[in-house]
Amino acid sequence: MLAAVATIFAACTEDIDLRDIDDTTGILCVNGFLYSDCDSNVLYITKTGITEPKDVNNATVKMFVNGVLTEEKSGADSPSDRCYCLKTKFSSGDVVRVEVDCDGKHVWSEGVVPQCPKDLDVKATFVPDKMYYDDWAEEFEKEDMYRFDVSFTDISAERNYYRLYTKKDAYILGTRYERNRWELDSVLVEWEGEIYYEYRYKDTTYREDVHISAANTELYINEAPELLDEEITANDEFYDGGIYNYYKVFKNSRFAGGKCNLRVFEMGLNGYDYNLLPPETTVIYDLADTATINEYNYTEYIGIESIDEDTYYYVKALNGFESGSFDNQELTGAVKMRRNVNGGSGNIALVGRTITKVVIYDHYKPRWVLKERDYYIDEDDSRYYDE
Amino acid sequence: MKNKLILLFILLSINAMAQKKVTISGYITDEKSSETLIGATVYDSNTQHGAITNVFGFYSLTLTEGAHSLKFSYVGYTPQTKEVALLSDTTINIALSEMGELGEVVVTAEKEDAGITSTKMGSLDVPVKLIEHTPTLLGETDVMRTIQLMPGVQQGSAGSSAIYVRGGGGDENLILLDGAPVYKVDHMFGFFSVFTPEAVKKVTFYKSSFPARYNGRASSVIDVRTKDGDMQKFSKSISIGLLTSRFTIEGPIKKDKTSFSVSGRTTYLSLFTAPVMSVLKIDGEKINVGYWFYDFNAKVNHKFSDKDRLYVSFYRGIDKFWVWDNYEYNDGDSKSKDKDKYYLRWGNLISTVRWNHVYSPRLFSNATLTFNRYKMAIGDEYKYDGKSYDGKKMEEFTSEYNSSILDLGFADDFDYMPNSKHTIRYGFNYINHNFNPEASFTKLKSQSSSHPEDNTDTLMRNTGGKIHANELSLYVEEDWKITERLHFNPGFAYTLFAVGKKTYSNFQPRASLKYSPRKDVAFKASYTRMSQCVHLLTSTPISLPTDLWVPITEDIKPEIAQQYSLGAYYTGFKMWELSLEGYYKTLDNVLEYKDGMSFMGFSSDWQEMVDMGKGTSKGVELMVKKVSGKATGWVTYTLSKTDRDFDNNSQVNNGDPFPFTYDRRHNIGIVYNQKFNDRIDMDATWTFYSGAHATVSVSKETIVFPEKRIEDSWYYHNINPSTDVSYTEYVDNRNNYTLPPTHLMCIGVNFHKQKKRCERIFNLSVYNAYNAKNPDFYYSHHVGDNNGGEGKYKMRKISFLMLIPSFTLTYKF
Repeated sequence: MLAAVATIFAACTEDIDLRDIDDTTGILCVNGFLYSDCDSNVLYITKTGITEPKDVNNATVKMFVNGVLTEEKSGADSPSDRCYCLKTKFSSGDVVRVEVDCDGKHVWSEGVVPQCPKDLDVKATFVPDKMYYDDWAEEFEKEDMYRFDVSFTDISAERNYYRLYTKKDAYILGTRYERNRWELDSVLVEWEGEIYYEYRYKDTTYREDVHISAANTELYINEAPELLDEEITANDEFYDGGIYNYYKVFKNSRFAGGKCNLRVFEMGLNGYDYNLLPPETTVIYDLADTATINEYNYTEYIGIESIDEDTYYYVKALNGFESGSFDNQELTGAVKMRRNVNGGSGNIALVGRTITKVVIYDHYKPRWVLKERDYYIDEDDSRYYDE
Repeated sequence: MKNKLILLFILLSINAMAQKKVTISGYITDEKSSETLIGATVYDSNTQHGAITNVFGFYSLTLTEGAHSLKFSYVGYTPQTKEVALLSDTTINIALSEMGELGEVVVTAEKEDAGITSTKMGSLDVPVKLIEHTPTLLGETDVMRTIQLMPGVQQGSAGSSAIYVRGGGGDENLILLDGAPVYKVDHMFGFFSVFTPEAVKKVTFYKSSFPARYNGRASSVIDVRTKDGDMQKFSKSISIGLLTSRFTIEGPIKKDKTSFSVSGRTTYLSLFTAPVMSVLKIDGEKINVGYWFYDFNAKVNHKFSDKDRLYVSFYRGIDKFWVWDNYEYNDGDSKSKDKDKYYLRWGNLISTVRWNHVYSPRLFSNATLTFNRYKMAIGDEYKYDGKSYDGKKMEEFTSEYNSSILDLGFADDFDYMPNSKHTIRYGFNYINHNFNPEASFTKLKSQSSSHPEDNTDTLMRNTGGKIHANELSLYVEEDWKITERLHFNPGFAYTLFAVGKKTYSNFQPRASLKYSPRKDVAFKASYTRMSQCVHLLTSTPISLPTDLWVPITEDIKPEIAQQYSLGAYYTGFKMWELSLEGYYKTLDNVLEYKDGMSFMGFSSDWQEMVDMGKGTSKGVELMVKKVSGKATGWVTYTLSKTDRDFDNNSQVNNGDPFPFTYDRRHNIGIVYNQKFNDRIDMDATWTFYSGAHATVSVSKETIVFPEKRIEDSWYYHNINPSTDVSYTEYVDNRNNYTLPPTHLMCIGVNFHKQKKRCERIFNLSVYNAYNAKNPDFYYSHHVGDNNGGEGKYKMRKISFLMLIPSFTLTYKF
């Protein structure tokens, strides 16, 4: 019996040549998110390659707005780069066409810049956390949050697609006692002592902390934060393999032509002290730290981006990419990416964006002392060492 | 001229009135068990009129008053001829006796003559004997595997019982168990179907020319009828196999009045793997992996009179797969024990109540009540018991995600046979669908002796988004024998499907025409239109219990299949039958995942991930059968082409057409049954399929993110500076690669021995007899170049179903 079972699952693996399949290397890929009223939009131009894409630094980019050539750029910003910064400003409703020529290949993409969302309004509220338990019934630390009630008016009753933009800008002055090992320019440094620090931290909001309810209907983009009982939803991480809306796209199916209400939770800064480290260093080991914050500056930027259908599905595919749905080729086959570039590959997104700045703390001097926190990492775990 | 026609009409009418019509009707049954025979024929050699028993064994034949010679026949049974003098409507119940020849393993289309009798085409009866004589994986005979050997049917992934019929998808097959649709027909991730062969009485497979009473799926119908139970005597059988054991008991509760049939099947895989699991430890934790399933069929039928009969049937099947680990800690004062169990459970519960009533010798009705529930659950149970200096602590955590479908149905079918030239079938079918694609609950309980204030006992429940739908089908069809040579079967079904605020209506005309220039030759043509209002969400070629059935929505329209078929049939060679069928099929609103999308177990917003397009399939199917003698079997050859085409605005393959995954150009199937003597017989099958299609990437392309990428975990966020550019596989076209062909031979030998009180059958089977290394799984991967080059991509082919011998021991009492 066991022999039979073993026989079934005994696999024979063989590599065979891939015949009768087109060579797909060298295909020109143009990608980028081009924002309205922005004079520094970036296009990424590469060619498909066997192991990884190849940067293209000798392409010629032409940008047309409403049929008029507004910009022509030859060569990447840096010779070893793939970035092409475009200075042309365009507005909602403009027809934007991008043409790229390189090594005899010509690709293009054209679209209408979506209207910017209207009547954007953001209200911030401090929300104290409650104790909660994770899937393993272990207590999690309490992490107070900020809630941003965002509302805007749908640009029309037609089908529209949006993306939530969130970004924090923190500026902190503080004192910190640390026992750390750092790796700086490949040199391992161990030290212990008290430091004064001044950190500037800019980042998009962690996607896990975003929860959206639209038009009084729950529309969870990710798991809800677990700080309020009534917010708890089944759409959590229990079921491995689910696709999470990391990049926060949604459509207006629940509020077509009307008002959309979103609720965004942000951890503020107290949960980010671990991340508030100089950008040139890489933490590989951290046992404990105690810090005193002397000055606290915290600004949240919240915006709504209006995108077209192609970009909506492109970003949804990115969500799938991040969630691992591209990783099971044995079962699903390779997944073809969404693209809107003709003659090549890639997606050029035209985005209409409205952003609001919310200042939470401005030169605030809390004199908070963060309680000691233990980050225990197994020293034997080689994953933490950059080899 | 006009007057002459009127005169002719009057003369014909007088003639008709002069010859009084009488109707004979009744049931044709098996002599030994009184089991009704489906598709048996009654034929009057004087008038050359005939009739066929319906699915309940009932026939009705209207003839002129006077003497008639009636021949009753059924495949594998000794025909009976009765000379009768008909003066008035008469009931004649006939019991036919089995020939008892094992070599009579044949596949027929309603009759032993390549479907020549029936007006319809593309239907095949699959006798239970054939199912029992088809060698399969680990000796587990299976309805679906036998159907896979029919022309026009493609197998899914290796070892799977999934079928793809004439270019249709895997969810386009209406599989009925005693009239109730079965949503999940797989055990063990698709290796076996839920139909226990011993419980099955008759299987009919339709791939075109669908009778009007069948609705709801686009590509095929598999109608499985279970045994009614022996009305005369008790009988039982026990089979012991490598993976499963089965039993069947049937017999009379009251002779000739009430009978029952009970059968069951279970696997004991976990019993055999338990010793290995008991010593298995990973990181100090005891790990146990187990799998178990069972099927249970029960049926009772009661004959109130020749006019009324009641059938109650029940099916229950469950699969359960689990992994648990135990961890114990003991360090003097501190002791703890925790157990974590993950499980996956799915199963069907189906019950039908059917009432046959003969209103008159010419009008038969069958009313059916169906209850059908499919449920899947995936969950985690955790328990911790600990004792330390701090006191006692107990924690329990249970979390479950589940999905279910509950169907309640009522149908009434009528067979009206006004005369020998017309048979009219009409009726309705109503189903109340209750889909609950996703629901979940989390239960948390903790008790601490040192911190009682922290004790919790909470239950969080998410009932999911329930979807209710109502489906009503009305149908009528007529089998009209215009002349002896020309038969016509027109019909239609009209379906209403209401979901949410939307109601879809579908008119589905169907027509079949048969012309027989000679008795042994027939030409047929048919047109059918089918609609499908439910879809199975899946991204993998193997059947997973997490695949979800969902109904159409306000945005996703019903799938429509239209099929045009032509066929030629010949039985002129003794013991041989030939059939040639060609078809052209179109599928509208067929679903495919949009570029960049795939199903990952959640149904939420599934309609966003798919797009509707068209599919076409065309093919020619040749079948040559040897139907009697010591050696029987058939050879089939199918030449087909299937592709999918989505319009330019769609988000599937940029609007470019692409081949269907199971577009296999050439299929060959050979089934061979040889009876050497009364004690030994042998069965063999060989199949050849051209390669299926797969989407393969041989290069990488850049993708750009709208913001910093989320990292795998919080600490990597710091290790790798965030970036908004990455790369993924570049795919130019879907299904851009044709896989190598697959071929497979299975052989089974049966040794029969008649014991004093029973018959013993020892079956020895070999799956994949010559160890063909077929591509069961495959993916492209990069192979480096030792000389510093970029290397190249190769296809990694994984073959896991190699040569597998097995045995089954059966005792029939």
